[in-house]
Amino acid sequence: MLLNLREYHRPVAETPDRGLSHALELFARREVRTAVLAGGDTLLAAHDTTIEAVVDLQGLGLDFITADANQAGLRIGALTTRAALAGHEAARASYDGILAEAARRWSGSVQRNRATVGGAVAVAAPNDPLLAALLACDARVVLADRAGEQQRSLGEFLARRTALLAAPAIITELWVPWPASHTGAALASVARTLADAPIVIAAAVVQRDGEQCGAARLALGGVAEAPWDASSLAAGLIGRPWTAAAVAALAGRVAETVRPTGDFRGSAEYRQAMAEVLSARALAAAWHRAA
Amino acid sequence: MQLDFILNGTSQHWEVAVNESLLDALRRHGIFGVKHGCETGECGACTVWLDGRPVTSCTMLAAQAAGHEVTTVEALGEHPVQGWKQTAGLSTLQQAFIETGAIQCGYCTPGQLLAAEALLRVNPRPTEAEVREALSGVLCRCTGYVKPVQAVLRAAARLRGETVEPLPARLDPPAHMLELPLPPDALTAEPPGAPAAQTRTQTSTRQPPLTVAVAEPKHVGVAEPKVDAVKLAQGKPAFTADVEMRDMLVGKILRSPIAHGYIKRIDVSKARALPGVHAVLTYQDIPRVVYSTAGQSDPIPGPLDFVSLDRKVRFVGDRVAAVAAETEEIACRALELIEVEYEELPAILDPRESMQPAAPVIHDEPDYVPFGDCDPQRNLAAHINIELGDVDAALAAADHVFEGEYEVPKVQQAPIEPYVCITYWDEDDRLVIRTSTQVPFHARRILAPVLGLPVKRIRVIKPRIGGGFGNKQEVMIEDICAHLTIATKRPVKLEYTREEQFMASTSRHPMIIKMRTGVMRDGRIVANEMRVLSDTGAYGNHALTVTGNTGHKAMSLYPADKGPDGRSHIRFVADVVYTNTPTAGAYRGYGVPQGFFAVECHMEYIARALGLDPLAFRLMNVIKPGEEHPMSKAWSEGREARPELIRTNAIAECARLGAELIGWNEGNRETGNQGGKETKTQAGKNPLSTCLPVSSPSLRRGKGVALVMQGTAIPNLDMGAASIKMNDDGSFNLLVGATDLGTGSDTVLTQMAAEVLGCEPEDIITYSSDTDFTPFDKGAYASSTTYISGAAVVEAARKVADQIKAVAGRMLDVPAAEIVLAERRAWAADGRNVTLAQVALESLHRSQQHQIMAVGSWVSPDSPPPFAAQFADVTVDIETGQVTVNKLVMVLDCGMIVNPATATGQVEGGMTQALGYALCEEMAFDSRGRMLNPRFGDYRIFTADEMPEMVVRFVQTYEPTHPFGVKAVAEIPLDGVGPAVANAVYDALGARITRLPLTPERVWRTLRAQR
Repeated sequence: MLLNLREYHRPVAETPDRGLSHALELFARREVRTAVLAGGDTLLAAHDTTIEAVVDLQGLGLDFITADANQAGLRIGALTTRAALAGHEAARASYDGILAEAARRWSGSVQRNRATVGGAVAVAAPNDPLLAALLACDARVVLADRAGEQQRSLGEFLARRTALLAAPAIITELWVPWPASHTGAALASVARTLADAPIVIAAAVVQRDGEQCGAARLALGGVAEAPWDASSLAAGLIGRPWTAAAVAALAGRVAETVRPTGDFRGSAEYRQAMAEVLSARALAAAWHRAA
Repeated sequence: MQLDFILNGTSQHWEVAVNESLLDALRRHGIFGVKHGCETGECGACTVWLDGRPVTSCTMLAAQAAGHEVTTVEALGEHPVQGWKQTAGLSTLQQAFIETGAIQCGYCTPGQLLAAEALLRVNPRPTEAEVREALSGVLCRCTGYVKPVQAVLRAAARLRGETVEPLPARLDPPAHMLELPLPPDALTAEPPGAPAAQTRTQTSTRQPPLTVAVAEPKHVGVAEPKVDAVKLAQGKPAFTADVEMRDMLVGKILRSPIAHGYIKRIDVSKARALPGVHAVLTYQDIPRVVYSTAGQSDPIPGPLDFVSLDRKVRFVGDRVAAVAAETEEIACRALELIEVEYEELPAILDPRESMQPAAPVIHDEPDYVPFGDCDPQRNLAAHINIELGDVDAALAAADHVFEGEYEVPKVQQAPIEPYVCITYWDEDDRLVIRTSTQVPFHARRILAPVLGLPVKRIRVIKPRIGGGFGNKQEVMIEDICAHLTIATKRPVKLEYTREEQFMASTSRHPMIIKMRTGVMRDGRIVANEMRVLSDTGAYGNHALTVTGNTGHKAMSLYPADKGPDGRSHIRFVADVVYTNTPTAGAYRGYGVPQGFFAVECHMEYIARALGLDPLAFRLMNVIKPGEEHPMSKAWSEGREARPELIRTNAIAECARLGAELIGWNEGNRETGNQGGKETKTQAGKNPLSTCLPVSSPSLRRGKGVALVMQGTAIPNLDMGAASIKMNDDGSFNLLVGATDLGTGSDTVLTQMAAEVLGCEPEDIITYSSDTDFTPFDKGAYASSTTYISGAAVVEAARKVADQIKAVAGRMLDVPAAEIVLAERRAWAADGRNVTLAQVALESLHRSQQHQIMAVGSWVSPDSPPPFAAQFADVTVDIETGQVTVNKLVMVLDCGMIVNPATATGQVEGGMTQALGYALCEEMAFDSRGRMLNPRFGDYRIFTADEMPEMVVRFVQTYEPTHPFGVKAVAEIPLDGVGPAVANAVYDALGARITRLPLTPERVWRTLRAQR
């Protein structure tokens, strides 16, 4: 129970912008601790007694998935549910379906009907497969604040998440570029059971240029406080012949770099070892699919 | 605030609180089909449709539903006949749930129905995987999802207009036997001198020698629909919390943040001053009465070490104070206003430290009442020492002695309905306790002194229960709720949150078990020793009896009597110690799954070390029909022990059939296999698997087995009773003290009564567990209900049948002894007959008037063990350590099966709980004793979309100590999955893992150590 909640707001306007500005005004109040209410699954489950007001975003028209106007990528509204993303044709067709797969790989079917993509990004659970997949797909976060709209890479957003959202700002959508040709993508994870939240997950997107690596992105979950973009390490593969040894070496570097903390799902040492195993697997599978 | 929305097709204008969840608002308005199972949206019991899509209502503010359409189970369908009014009836899906046996406790049924119905509306032709995904958001702890999935698939076919094959009503005759490489005497050896009639294992259904019913059983052995299924399919308000009472207060408990210490100062004045607060109780406010929360027969076989509220706290989550307030919100605020200062003491979190010389004493209270060999000064809650034969001499004479240490975790029963209780004074100033309990009669007896009331001034009502599994064989919240009612004079409802359920209910005892086994070269076991360190947590409820059963059952399967003297040489020693962790208690299996993990992993180790076939080795040593239960004379739950004979035992047939079903001899199975033989895996097929292509070289496949036995009730102690009253239409009221928790016991008891009375189950109105109205029953535990309470029902039914026959004989002018009851009639030998309704009218209204009615009760000198063989087929990822179970097989000898649907449902659900024990369930604590994963998800229980294939078969024997030949079925499924999976992993990897659960990291570490 949100024990001290006393205000519920649902901004609605003729145009989403006006609704947004109303929402941002509400968040900007210093005297009332105000939280964003998307699906509600995380917020209500947290039982945070400091929250005094919520702003329900359901009236702002943020529940959409559509190709962008330039045909350069996919726009995913922040209030799109994980179920909607998991079932969306474009999400299933591009990047070998890892966005859809990652959206599905969290909680149960009923819960995914409320859990939103924007909520997932705002919460940034360290082992959320969707975050790892979005990072690997080089997604960008669209934020609305009182100055207007800004876009940031998801990696950058995650690095400064608390400060950016406190501005205040609202995540309005995610943007994912369409994959280049000869691109393959894959997830690799380990969990206590098949449907359990991963202990560690890796997401890789690889572009093939003949026998060389044209581009490579890699992200990991479960190895840091937030999902981690390891693409700067994966860049070491680019422009070189793709060999098992190169992948293994890169995976080794990933494992050397991560400094996970352990919990009841898996120790730090185990997570570090899995970062290596799963990075290698995800990269290899992505390369295989890129063929 | 005002909430305008559409509920089940009708516009609603409700006043709701801003912070009220949709779940709470719906229930406050009497929509009780929506259930509370957690507060984090993870169990799905609160599922409703929002604009046609299933969503959880506990993690939605009611305000979020404004402008939307909400649909609950109440809209799906209803009973077809409502007096003179006909309705559209139950939905196709509801009917399918009823006919397949998909409903056990029924608590998650509304959620499952809504999740599945939503799928069928958009996808009329779902695959099994799609059905499983749709159900994945609704946790079910009873069914193992097999029958709900089947129900959805059948409903889908019917809705498409297809003809659906009727479900088989009876069990198939036992399958043919297969050849196994067994020693010739392994399956046939009978101990010399045993009477042949008792030693022959029967493998086919046959009539009881003492026929109590018609020659061909009509209802016993048939998959009758559950007697409570229609109401549960509708989400009717049948559970404890599904009532409204004027002026009912909400109770809440303030819990200790420290693991061990004293309350130095407690100030409740601010809490008491808060408007809307009606009582705040601490140890200073109520009488101090020591008792045990264990729901067991009198006298309690354990220490009395618990008081309702104490100055000392013994685990994080222990009670500090209790509040009753007008609303949950006020009660929560009141808890925050209680000021407590603690004097913290060193805590014991590891049972290995409990008996160390300098360990702090957890129970130093002067009013502690010891039992047996307990020694609170050494933190010893119970000590057990059983010695059969001369173990040391037999070990010394053995060709080999194998030693091993095994460890099993603390896991939770996790019924989807948490603890919940409502107490109130009735108009006669009697205290009514409406509670989710397995033990209503024990609860009444135990609570009376605690509350300062005589037993006769307490009435305990057990409504429908949303799962128990031993968790509710405990009197754990009724006292506090009643104290609050006594303090306030008002009705009080006390309902645990899921976090409280994890932190402050009960769990399975974690144990560290050491085995030492003497074996001859040819595989004969001549001595067996088990030493157990069992952790009872902060209180000693069930301490002695749970751990005693660990040895009593698990060490009896192999009598270790294959030495020259033919005597059993078995030692069982256990220390059950206190720690500053949440209390352990009863959990389905009652100590036996722990024991069998050790025994069956150890057997695998021995067989492989000696180069013997693991199954053949076991069968060579297993107890045979006609033998005496080795432990029966040594120990009986702290009471007098008397000898018991194993009369029925088809374990060899179970093993053969199970081996065939798992493909035991396929794929070049061999000891110490190198793995990688087969690449087609369930993991590869399951859409959830993301790791590897199916042919990956890092996958290994293995198969494992475990043989197990349990007991059926506590001999010479467990008593059940029933009464049957005939009504003037020829129907009957069957009143039982037995406590149906969703297991289907009301149904099987009804079937047995119908069989004897020659009527249909629908002619019997069965009412279970109200201490004012129903006869005594010890409650639902020890797998006793069908056997003990069932025999009591048969006893009552026989007496009623005799009375019916006397009246009918008079009416037909033939001797009563000639009358046969069948098809709702009483028949003379010449074919003349009267209906039961005519008999009832004659008896109640016309001649020699009297009420046809009788009481039966039953206690048994025997506890005939059910036996079973469990098999697992696994895939192990050797790089990550992740174990995926592809298939589980269980073949059981549970005597005769009264209802194949409920019996298989019990087994499937039990195996699923055991699968969690094997792979993923574990209560984790930090270094200060705080539980780290007190919520679903973090505490992982299996969901519908990740289940392995499960195969269940019965090899029926006729157990002659019961009128219908039954033995127990409820607990034994928990016993063998853990070791079968561990042994399959051993088979796959050639590496032993001796600790559950087999988490990826544990497997990975074992493999790393092996390299």
